[in-house]
Amino acid sequence: MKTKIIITIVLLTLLAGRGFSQFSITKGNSGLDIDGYIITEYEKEFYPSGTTDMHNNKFTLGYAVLKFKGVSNRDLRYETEIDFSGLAANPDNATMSIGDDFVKQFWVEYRGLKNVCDIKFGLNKVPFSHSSLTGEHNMIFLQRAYMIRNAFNRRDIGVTLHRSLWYKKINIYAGAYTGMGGLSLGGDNDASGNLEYVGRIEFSYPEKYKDKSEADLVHLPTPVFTMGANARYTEKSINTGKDLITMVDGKKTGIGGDINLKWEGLNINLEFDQFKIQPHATSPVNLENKQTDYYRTGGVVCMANYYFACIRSAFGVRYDEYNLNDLAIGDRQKDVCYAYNFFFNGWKSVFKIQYYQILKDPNTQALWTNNQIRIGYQFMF
Amino acid sequence: MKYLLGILLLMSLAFKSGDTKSVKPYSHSKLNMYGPSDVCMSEGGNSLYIVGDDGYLYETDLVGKVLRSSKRVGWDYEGVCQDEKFIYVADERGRRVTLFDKVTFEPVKTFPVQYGGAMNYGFESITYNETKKCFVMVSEKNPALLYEFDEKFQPFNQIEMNEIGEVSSARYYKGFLYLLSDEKMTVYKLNPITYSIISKVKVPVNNPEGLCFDNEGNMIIVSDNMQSIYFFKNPEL
Repeated sequence: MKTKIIITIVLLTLLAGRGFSQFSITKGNSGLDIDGYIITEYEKEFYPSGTTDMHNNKFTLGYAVLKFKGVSNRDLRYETEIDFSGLAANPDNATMSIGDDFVKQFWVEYRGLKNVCDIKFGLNKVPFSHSSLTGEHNMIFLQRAYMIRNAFNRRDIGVTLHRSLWYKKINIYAGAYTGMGGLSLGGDNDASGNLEYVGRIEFSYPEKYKDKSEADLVHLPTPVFTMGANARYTEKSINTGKDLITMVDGKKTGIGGDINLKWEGLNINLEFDQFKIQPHATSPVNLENKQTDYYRTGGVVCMANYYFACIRSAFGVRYDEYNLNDLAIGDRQKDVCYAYNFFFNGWKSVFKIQYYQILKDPNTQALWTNNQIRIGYQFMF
Repeated sequence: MKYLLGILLLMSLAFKSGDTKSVKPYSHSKLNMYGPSDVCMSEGGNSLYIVGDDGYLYETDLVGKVLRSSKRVGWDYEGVCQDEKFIYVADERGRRVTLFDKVTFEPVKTFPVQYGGAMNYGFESITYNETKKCFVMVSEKNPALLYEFDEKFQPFNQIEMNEIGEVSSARYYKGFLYLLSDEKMTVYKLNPITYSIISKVKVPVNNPEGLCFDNEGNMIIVSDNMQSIYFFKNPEL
């Protein structure tokens, strides 16, 4: 049976491998691209013996994204991106709801202020963390590192200013956002009404900073080195008691950095992100009864992979370490992920396998999740 | 699991490519322009025409020093060729070919060239096939389609270039058509009538997007991301 399933998956992906994609409409200096991508995966979690609830063993529609990308009169750009996998079903009461990620991007950018900056308004990725800014369809792993998914808001509504220098080898971003992440779509800010401020600077050499994908599919003969540094700050008054890390009742200051190298099929990414969280005195959550008014959260992501052009395959390994609270003993997770990708047609059609292994901290109080394997297929249309 | 490994092995054998000759540049220089995307030799062989992503046409000396540039009339210039009267520029996102006067460097005529693929996977190449007396433009990828156009840029033939798969430049030179693949970093020599591949050579340059030859058959390539021009000895394809 297992063999039949494997052969079926491989044959289906072979059939889809030659699919051609993306369509456009143009008139004068304006145009509209219609495209998207689907990532479907099977997830199997290795539960401890005796477990009766194994609800995570399932097929998942990871992403079902439809995008409209347009340009109006050369200098005005816009993008809408809807992820239909964000229509989440609740199996307990058989109802559907709209998740925070249903609307992924809705923005307009004006690039007409030459030698000043580009201005982007709307819902967009916050310019923080190389791993976060990499699109899921350009990743060799089926899931981002835990820290990237849980330590900060990846998207928000606001305004972003962008300036390129030295033929785009240097990019500078600065932005102000509601600071509520996906909840910003609800229309209201928190009680404080404060915004979140984010800045990022990127440097690339000898090429311009263009490609944030996780694999070197063309085997660049000249190595391309990129690095980025970013910071963010906000002070919120959240009293929901929910999500104490991505949004906190207090001040949250974050810094991070990333280094990346692509060369001859090799791709290396190193990233660290650290956040200092100062809860309001009225709700000193997570201070673990210590004589301090702040705690830190953050970690590192280290990834390396190699693309073998002759077999159209990439093999990768990723080490993630995330400390949820530096004041709490054992509140640290480490894991190693292994990935295999077979590229039928570049990133357009990819078969992906990811094995996720938890490295137990001797002081860990509770295992956050179990080892798991994910097998998926990505198709971009 | 052994079945999966077996299938992967078969795939790897099926997709394994043969050995390809490789040449290295003997010289290169930086270009003072944004996103150089194609290059062609002027009629007398004394200068180069280069186009850029931001919609400018440049004339440079033979090592890439800018002598003059056009006004910004284009959107995303990706292909260039010339004849005794005009310089023909392919505007990839704008889906058009603009003719520039060689003397004034002003646009004199524009032909719409429709294509339904993604805006940035349109025509990155343009050349005149003297053997068949037609213009040739190839869509970049997904799929790479070679179109033949008459002199009013009306298409009359379309051929899938599946074996090459991705094309960023086309150049007719001394009885043959040459196509440059950016992602494969390879120059293909083609029969100008059947468009079958005769030979190929690897050019180890990041993001090569433009191709032409000088009077001695030496190969000139421009790289968009590296913002550079590279010079190769005659590869004798």
